[in-house]
Amino acid sequence: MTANTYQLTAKEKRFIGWHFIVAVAALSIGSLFGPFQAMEHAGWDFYEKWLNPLFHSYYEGLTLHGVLNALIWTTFFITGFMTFLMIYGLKRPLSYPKLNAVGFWMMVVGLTTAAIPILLNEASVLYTFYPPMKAHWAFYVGVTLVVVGSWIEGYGFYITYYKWRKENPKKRTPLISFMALITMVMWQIATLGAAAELLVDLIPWSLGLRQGLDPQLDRTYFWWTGHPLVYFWLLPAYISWYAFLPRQAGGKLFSDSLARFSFWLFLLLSVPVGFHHQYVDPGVPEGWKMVHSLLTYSVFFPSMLTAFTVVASLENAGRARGGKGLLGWLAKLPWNDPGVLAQLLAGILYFFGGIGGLINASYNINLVVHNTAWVPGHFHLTVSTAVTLTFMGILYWMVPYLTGKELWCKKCAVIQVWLWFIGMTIFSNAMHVVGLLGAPRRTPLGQAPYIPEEWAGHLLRVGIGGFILLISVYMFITIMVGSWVTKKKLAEEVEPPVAESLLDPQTTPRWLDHWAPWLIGATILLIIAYGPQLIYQIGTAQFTSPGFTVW
Amino acid sequence: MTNQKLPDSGNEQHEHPKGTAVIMAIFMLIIIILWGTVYLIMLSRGVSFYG
Amino acid sequence: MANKRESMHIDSYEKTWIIVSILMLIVFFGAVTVAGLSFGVRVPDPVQRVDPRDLAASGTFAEPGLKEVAPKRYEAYIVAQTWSFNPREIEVPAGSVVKFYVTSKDVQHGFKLQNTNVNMQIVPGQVSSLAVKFDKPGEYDFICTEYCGIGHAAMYGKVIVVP
Repeated sequence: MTANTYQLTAKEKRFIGWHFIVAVAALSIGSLFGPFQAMEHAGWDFYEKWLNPLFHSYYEGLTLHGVLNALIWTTFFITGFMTFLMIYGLKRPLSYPKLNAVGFWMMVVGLTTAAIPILLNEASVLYTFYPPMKAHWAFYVGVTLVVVGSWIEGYGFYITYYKWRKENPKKRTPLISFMALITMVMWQIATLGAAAELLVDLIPWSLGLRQGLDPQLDRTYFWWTGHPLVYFWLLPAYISWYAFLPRQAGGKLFSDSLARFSFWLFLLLSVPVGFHHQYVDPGVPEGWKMVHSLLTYSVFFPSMLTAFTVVASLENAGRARGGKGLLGWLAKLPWNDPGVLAQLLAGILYFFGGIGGLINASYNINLVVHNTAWVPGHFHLTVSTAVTLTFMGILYWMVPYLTGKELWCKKCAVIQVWLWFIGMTIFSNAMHVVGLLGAPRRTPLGQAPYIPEEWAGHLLRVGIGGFILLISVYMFITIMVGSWVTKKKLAEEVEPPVAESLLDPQTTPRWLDHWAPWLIGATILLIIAYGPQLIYQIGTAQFTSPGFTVW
Repeated sequence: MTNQKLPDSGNEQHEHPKGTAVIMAIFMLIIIILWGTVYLIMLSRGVSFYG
Repeated sequence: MANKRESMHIDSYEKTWIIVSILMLIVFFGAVTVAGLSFGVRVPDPVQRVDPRDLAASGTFAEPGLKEVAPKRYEAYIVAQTWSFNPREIEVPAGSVVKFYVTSKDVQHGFKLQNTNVNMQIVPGQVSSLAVKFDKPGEYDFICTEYCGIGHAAMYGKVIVVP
């Protein structure tokens, strides 16, 4: 144990642990439906014969898959992980643990409130819930509560940080807490769009208090949130890659200052880019689409920076472990440590996910890929691998840390990670290709009458990939449950593998630890990017769309 | 600002990350090829605006 | 009081990477702009507001279908609804330019004309428009690409281009 550690109480560990329990439970159900979708594409339809009447359709399944995986697994994991990062990084308890507990329980209530209508097939609206498809009001209320609950946990973080800052005026904010805070602040700015959509439009409308909505306006609200949502997912994975992986691999973080700088850029640039999800929307002018395109290209830059810094940190580690030559150090990395392996393989697939993202962002190139199978192909490399596989890797040390018990079956974990990588490569590649050939997303392709023969081979690979992923995710759940119930205690507590940087963080310039300029900059960019068009859309809104229950 | 006289933490030698440079170069090549391919697909699908 | 040793300390290789990355983004952005402004691959721009409850009042969608506005220049007014396009088939001679105008009577839909750059989100209350020149004869499917309910997978139509 080095001097840089801090002892969490059992209560704190339990609180963090409960976030992960809910997250993994959500993943275990949500990830059941992904493979059913994928296998349907290959012509193996489980809905007709097996899943009915418990699960009513491909679309209820897809809604469960999207909501439980992309909203619940992620949000609960992230808030739990951030709680750890704040306490361990600042080396102090939360200032008001009861406040954070309120936030957590609100998220649990929200999850339950949203889950019930989904399971009753009253909210098969997919996780984007575009009006004028209208779900049961409890679905919208539930989603709102999950978001607000996460905000409340964030307020608890801010108060804790404020107190730490008063006691430590000249110290650089510890990197892991710094990054957690930026992620949460970015999230709170990001969720304003969906909050407006839910509170002003969807909830009153679904309760019958409003007769009609303007669906184009709601798309603009949603995608204000929808893009930075992916950075809410990604940044915690980046935190692991920057601030843990170098040490797990045996080295140090290559550049503390650039790591911090990249996160400030994400705070600045994650939100004012939403129109790149609306390039082919009728109600948003080309001019504004172009502006967002430019801003989206800008937000790609900090990820390019991250790639270099993280790989350089791995090189540092590989060489410290005896690696020689230009690339020989790669082999010296601890590939047999499931926590490291998960992140390395996640990074490899993320290279391709990032490239796909740049393609999606490239304005008129989007015409080639919008709403095709390419899109889920892309996001299964990003949220489902870069983020999810990294989160699995984190749990591979975090669960033993929280429980004081051994990881159940480390060899199984290594196999699980490889299966995820292989399954995702097959699935995602096939989806990208069949999407370029014209296949739509969100469609049970097994039933579609217009699919040409040339798609068949790719759709088969989609099903095979999905099947491999089904095995992998259930291996993961088994390992998690096994690690929870195992009797094998660890002799020593796991020391969280927080990395040191090559240079003392105190040498990082002071302006990288000042919030005001970045918050002001983010606000200005937001006003420029969204102000005029949003005001125009609100001012000219025509609330002519009643609700439709089309499933 | 050079990299020669940096304060270091411990006995670290600050070498340039040559392996990283190679990997980044390969990455850049792949980006250009993949992005370029989809760009060409877009062009091959023709004009979408006729005044 | 600033610490003299405080600085970004950026490795020169990383500096090179930063410059190369920014250059790449500039070149790509330039290529995209050229494709848009010079070559003519544009994305939808606002056209018209309509009331999805009363498309007859819109004028343009009162009678959906194909209108010839000049020799080999057509306007196709298509209404998307759960779960079909109206009209679901249109026929034009090869060499025609067709401007599509698509709206929805109910929920959001998609409109993707295969093997062309016509790919649009169809939002009730709004009209989506892009155009295509059909040089080669054949059949071109247009499919719905946005989840619009239980019959979504069957929702498609076609453009028949005759020689």
